[in-house]
Amino acid sequence: MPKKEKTKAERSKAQTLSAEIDRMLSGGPGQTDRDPLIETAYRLGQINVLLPTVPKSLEQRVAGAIAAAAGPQISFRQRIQPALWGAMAATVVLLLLWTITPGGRMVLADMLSTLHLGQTWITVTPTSVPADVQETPSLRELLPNLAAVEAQMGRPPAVPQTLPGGYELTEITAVSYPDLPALTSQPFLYELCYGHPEDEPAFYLKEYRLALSEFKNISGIDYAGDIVMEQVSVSGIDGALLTATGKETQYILVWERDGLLLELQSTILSKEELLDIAQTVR
Amino acid sequence: MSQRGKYEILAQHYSEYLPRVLNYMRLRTDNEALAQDLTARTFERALSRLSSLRDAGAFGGWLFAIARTEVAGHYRRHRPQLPLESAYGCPTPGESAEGQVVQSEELANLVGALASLQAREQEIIRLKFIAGLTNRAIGKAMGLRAGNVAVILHRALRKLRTQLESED
Repeated sequence: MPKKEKTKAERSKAQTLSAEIDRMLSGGPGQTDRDPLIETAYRLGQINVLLPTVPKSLEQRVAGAIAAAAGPQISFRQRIQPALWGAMAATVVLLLLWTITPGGRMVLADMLSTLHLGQTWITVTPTSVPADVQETPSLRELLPNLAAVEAQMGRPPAVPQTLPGGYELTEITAVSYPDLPALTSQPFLYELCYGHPEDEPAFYLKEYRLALSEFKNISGIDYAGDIVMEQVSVSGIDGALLTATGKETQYILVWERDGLLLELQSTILSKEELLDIAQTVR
Repeated sequence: MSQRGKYEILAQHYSEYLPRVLNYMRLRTDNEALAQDLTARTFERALSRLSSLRDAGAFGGWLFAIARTEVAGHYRRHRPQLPLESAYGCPTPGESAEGQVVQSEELANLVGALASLQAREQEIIRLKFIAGLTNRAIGKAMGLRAGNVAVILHRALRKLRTQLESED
C-alpha cells in the first residue's frame, strides 16, 4: 500500500479508536466488534479509580479558595402573605446582594430595619419598596422521620424538647432551590411541621445550615410585608421576633443556635407561646 | 459571560476535576505532598485567570492548560539542570515511579508501562485517560492537530498493549 494510503488508513483507524475511547470514558455503550486496543484503553481508564481519593484537607483547601474568591452573599427573602398559612404559599424569592448597585444599596438601607444575629442578619422590607429580586423554583421532598434529616444534614436537627397542647411532629420537608449558586449546600432548609395530626399545622420550625467548611450557606433573611420586628432573647441568644399583620396575625421568631439559623412561624400560637417553645429547642 | 458566571462554572466543575488534576499531578511527580500542593495551586491559579475561560465547554482543556503550566513551572524552578522535555517524563523504567501513591499491582503495571513511552505519548495518555480531555482539547494544549493526537494515541496504545501483555 502506498505510504499516503497507509497514513490515511492509520489516521482513519486512529480516529475511530479515539471516538470509541471517548465513548467508553463517558460511560457510553461500547461497540460490538471492539478494537483490541480498547481493552488497553479500558485498563488505563481505571487509573483514576485505582489511585487514592482526594484527601479531605485538599478538598477543603480548594473549596475554601473558591468560596473566598466567589464570596456569594445569599439573602433569603420571604414575602409574608396575610392568609391561612399563606406563608406556605408565600412567594419565596432570592435576593443576590451583589446585583444591587451601590446607589440602590443606600436607598434600601434607609428604608430597612435590620437586626444582626451573630452570623446572619434579619431585615424587614416594607412592601412599598420595589424588590430587586427574582423568584426561584423549589423542590420539596417529604422525609419519613428525623433520622432521615440527620442522614442528609450530617448532624441531628434541632427540635423542641417540650410541646404544648398535645402537639406532635406531623410532617418533615426538605426544601431545595436548584437555581441557587453551585456552592450552596442543598437541601437549603428543613421544615418541621407541628400540630395535631387531623388539624391544620400549629407551627413550623425551619432550619437553615449556617455554614459548611469555609462557605456560608445563608447570610440572612429579608422579610417583606407589613411587619414589626423586635429584638428578643432565646435562652440568652439574640433573636428577632417579627409580627406580621394583615388578615391574620403571624408571628415569626428567628435565632441562631449551634450552626443553624432557626425560624419558628405560627398564625395560631401567641408570641409568648412561640418564645416558650423556642427556649426548649435543642 | 460574566465573571460571576465563570465562578459558577468553576464551582460546578471543581469537584469533578479535582481528583483528575490530583491524579495527573501524581503521575507527573513522585511525591504525594507535591502533587497535592500543585493541585491546589492549579485551582488557585485558575481563580485568578477566570477571565481567560471562554465557556463551560472549554473548562477541562483550560484547567489542564493551567495544571501543565504549574507542573512545568515547578520543574523549572527545582530542576534547573534538566531540559524542559525531560521534566515531562516519568522516572526511568524499572524504578518505582509512583512513590507513595502506588496502591496495587495493576496500578504499578500501568504506571510502569506508561514510563516506557516517549514524553509526548505519556502526556497524551495522561490528558486523555486522567484528565478526560477530547483530542481537540489535547491538541490545543500541546500545539497539535486533533488528527495527530489520535494517531499518536493509537501508536502509544499499541506500545502499551505490547508492554502490558509481556508483564501479565
